Amino acid sequence: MSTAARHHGAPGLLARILRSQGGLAALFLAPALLGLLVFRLAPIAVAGIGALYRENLEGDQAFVGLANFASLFADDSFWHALRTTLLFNIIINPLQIAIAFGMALLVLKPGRGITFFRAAFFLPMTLSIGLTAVLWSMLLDQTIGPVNALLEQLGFARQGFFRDENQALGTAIAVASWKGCGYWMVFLLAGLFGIDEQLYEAARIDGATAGQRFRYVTLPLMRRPLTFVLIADTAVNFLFFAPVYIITAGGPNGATSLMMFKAYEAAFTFMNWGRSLAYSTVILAIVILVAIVQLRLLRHGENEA
Amino acid sequence: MTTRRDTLAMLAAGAASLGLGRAASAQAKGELNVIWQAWPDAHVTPIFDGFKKKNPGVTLRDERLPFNELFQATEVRLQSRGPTPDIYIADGPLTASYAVRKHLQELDSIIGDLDRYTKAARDQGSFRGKLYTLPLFSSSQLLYINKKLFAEAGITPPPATVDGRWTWEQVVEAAKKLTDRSSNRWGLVIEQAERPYQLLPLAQSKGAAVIGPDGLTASGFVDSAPFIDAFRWYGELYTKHQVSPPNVFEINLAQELFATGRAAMYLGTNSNMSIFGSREGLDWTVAAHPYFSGGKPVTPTGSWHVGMNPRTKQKEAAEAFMRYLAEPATIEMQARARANPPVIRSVWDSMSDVLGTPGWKIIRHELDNTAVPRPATPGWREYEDILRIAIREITGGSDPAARLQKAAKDIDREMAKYRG
Repeated sequence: MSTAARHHGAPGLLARILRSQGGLAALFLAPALLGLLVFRLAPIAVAGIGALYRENLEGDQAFVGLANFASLFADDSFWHALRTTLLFNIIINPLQIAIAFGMALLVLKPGRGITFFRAAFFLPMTLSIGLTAVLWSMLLDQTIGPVNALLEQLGFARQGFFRDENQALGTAIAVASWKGCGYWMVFLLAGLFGIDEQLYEAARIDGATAGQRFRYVTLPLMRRPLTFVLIADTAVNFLFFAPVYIITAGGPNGATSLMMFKAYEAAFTFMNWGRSLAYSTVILAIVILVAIVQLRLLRHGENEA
Repeated sequence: MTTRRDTLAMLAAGAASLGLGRAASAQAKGELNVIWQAWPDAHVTPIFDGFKKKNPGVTLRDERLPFNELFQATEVRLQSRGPTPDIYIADGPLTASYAVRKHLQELDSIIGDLDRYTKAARDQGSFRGKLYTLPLFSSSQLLYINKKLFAEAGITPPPATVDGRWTWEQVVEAAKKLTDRSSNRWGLVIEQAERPYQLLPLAQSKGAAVIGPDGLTASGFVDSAPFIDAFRWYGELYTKHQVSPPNVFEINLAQELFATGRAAMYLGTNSNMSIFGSREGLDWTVAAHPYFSGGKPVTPTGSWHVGMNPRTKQKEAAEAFMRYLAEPATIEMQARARANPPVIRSVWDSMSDVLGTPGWKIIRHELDNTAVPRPATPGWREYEDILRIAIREITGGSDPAARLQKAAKDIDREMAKYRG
């Protein structure tokens, strides 16, 4: 190929790239890779390096090694935030995926008004997270919220929801799922559409029940979309922030003290950039670790199947 | 040969041309980025218009931010350590915090004659003996009374004088009779229901010191017995007695509750006199800030100041703006537009036509006798934010002792960076 290019005297580099194996692909990928570099990798590097520095009150920076992490790990509120964040994720991720999968199965088969339901399930996703937070904090408000008015009408006591220490984290999970499930449903629905109908046919002929068809046909073939949704959803939920910032500020009594909020608070309320970046770095490390474990588990399952 | 007279003439001409030069440079040019609070238009625009009229060469780009977003938005902008905002409005007690972090231009040399200011206002804007923020106006608190609701309940309201000031115990007794939750009518609405500005005087009325003498210690103060007592009482307004509306932390919402007849008593700043005064059909009067029986009357004070970014690229225009804000005429215009206690002494005299009402008489008394400014600490921001969330949660039912102990610990942790 390169000999031919030289023979024809074609203009150098670009032509060679275009003709080389993978060169064209690299060219088309370049804008996306550049975006990844500028908007993802560079900030990660900035955070990782910045976590090793401490800024004094006048804005001068000094290298402090791992001191930011040391003081973070010595702080009770960090461990509390870590526990809260892990609890939040252990509940919300399986819950959201189960609901999203259930909704995808419900709207899979064509039928009357199916487009309406597909759109309705997806609709909450189109609201911004800030708007969602304000909307639900008003709906669930103890004094002026219509949900509590309804509860009272039905003879129940008014509930604190976001203002109740025991309900706040659960309420946040519910609101996040209200918004998020429809989004993940779309990916799973696309996966379900991709399963060859003939496989179900064959299973049916072999006498498989609906449950068996789901267990032995649907689930194994949904492994890839499920892997993607699980990892992406986990990453999103570890970065859960806006409703905590807008509604609870980490309260009541630390009940919604998630790590992303602590990172924000360290930077913008307490002016401690080193601590904030250390928080961000720890969150990143956890997300990467969890993603690796998830990938391993699902790949292991794939080989088995 | 040049005579002595010629020399004098030349000097005079030189001085005149210098003077002209000064006059020309007084006509500052440029574009100023200004962060201000989103008060009603009539409280802000005339001040800006007055400056534009005097300085047609300067373009003002003002961002007016709501109170609840102001602090953090300003913080984000300042932390980038860029040249904008050139000018920003600052809560008086944050002066030390901004100054210690080099976000403020020292103003002594720009303003001159600082004796024009009242002592409390000048102190609040000073850090290590130098003025860093210009006081714009001060503040005080009044108990606003809905006369119609009191009459309907057959209760005699407290008098519109300092003598006969109610105790908090009297307020709660009356509030219970005045509350009707089914029609969303509340006995007592607190304007800044989670803000230490408004609520520290509760603890101070019980004799609590709200911060250590070093200005950097909260443990032993924020969790002292009188402090906890005061906030247990405060939380019970929402949880036990249910005479105050929970979760109303927006000032505008709180004001609306009183302005629309849904609050019988309203503890709020002096500026409400002009706001409620313009509401038709609202029959209201004022009373003095309550205190705890057995304690002493303590009232909040201090208010908004204005700072200049030392990194500004528009030094000339920014200095012109600051000098404009230090003029008695500007302070008077501000005080007439927004009914707040003036910070320049001569304005108290030039505005005696307005400042003679019962409400203003109470305020003058409070400012001279009961007003206690917020503690001067470089860590006010952290102190305020941590305590604010604790107070919010106490109104939601958190145990005051445990919650304030946690707050004290959190504040001490954040104060560490100022101990050096």
